[in-house]
Amino acid sequence: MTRSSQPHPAPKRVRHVDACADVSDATLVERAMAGERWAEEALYRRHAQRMHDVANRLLARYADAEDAVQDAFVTAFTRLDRLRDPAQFEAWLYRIVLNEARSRLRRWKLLRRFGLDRGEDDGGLAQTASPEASPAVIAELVQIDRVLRDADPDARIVWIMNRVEGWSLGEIAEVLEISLPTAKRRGWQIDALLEQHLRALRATSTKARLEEVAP
Amino acid sequence: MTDERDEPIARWLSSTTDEARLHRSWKRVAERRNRPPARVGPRIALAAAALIGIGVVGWMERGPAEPMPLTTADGSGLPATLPRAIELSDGSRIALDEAARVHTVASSGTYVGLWQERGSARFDVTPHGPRRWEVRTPYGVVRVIGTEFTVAVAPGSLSVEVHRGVVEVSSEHLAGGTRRVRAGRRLVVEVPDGASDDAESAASSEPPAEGTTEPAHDDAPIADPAVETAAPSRDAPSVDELFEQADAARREGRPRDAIAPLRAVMRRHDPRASLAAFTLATLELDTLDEPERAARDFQRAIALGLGPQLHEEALARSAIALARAGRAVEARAQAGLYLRRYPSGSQAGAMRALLAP
Repeated sequence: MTRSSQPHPAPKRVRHVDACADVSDATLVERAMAGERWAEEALYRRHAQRMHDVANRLLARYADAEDAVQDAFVTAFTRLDRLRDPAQFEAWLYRIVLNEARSRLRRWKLLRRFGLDRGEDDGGLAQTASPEASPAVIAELVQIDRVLRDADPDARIVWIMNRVEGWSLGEIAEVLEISLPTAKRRGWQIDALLEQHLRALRATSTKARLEEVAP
Repeated sequence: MTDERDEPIARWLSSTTDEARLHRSWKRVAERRNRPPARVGPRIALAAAALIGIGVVGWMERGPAEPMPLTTADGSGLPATLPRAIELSDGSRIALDEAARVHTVASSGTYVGLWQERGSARFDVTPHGPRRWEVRTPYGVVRVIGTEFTVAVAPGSLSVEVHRGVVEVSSEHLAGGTRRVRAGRRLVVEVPDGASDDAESAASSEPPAEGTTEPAHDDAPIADPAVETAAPSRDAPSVDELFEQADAARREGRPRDAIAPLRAVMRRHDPRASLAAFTLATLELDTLDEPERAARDFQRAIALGLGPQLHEEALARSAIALARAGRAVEARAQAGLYLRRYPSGSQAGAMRALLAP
């Protein structure tokens, strides 16, 4: 699977500078495997921004997302010899990043259960909303963040990759090495939670109105 | 939730990653990659524990495993912009004149990088420390081991005077790109004002003052677009936009159209100027078949300050470009420089081949 065919949102603040734009991932992987460190840097520069953005959205915590991406790149470069098809580097890297995110999410969930998670979500969807997002969209993102916070890590990953990043469930299943029904089930799980949350919100929300105040 | 491709939510989100974050992250990845792999198996761990037990006395005299970044007298790290006088935790001192502006680029246990924008600054660096010092200026980079020296930056000129020890100055305006300056000498690099890059007109590198090293001129002097000191006008495209223009030109098979935006980036005082020079040099060598220009731009990239991976690559490719340009003597000198710096580097074989009779 080649992720480059995916419609990635155009980065707003940074554009990639790829000094090796004409060189394929496969060639860079081969050169990196031959010990040429510049090829590792070229691979990093090519993929780092997308990986950071995905990790931020999965984890909702900047510093942890940065750590996860660093760990993923170190793991990838250390294990390049295990990559069967060098042309699939990007998909493989995504898999590593998603696994890094999953292990962190699981750990936090466990810590939360014992009241020990002191981390603060500083990079949730609402916090990273673009200037074009309307107040209604931001309000919706706030509710999504609330639901995702306590959701099952595996379900959260599938939902974010599908609904936020725009991957198809088939692609997600392939990268995560799970079956398509499993991917669907995990996605539905969050959809159901969201629906339930929004219904409860509607039931309890107060109504506000503006009134003219006499001078 | 369906498998249909609804409009992804990412449409409403901003990228949270900026260049500084990516760069910082890469540095950490590279540092971790450079560490030797930890293969401490149980038996080795046991042996290590035994050694630790035996070496209790020696432990008292052991230094810290990882040197700490330098601090100032009040225990804080190096300030972003240096004050007129500063004394550091290792005894190193820096004194700036009134006009000087020196910024901290990086400070770790093994590296101190400073950017001297203008004015004169005297550096007294305690020798034999664990940190590599670099003073970057618009016209070259001064590398220090342990020494006392003064760097003066004025529009169009760089002067490095060494009072004690030795420094290495890298500048695209120097033949071979690098020059060592010993105590009691001063290296003056003067950059011709308003010279155009393509004209390659003779640059008037003044001979240094009495007792200086050999004149800082090149047999093919480089009139430098990368040192323009004027700030870009308000309407000028941003560095990101310039890179985008260059990328688009290359993608669309118009490599020559990538030259102007890349050179424009090199003229900016932007950390990515070195990357622009590297990209341009690669284009000149691989696509445009202009090894002479490629050699010059690789050296320019080095002088502007590249990360370790790209530095190694630029050094090697500059030697290859010089060889292809028929400048065999300089190619061999550059290859020798590479091998001294990276004796077991990935291009060591190719560099040895260049040195072979």
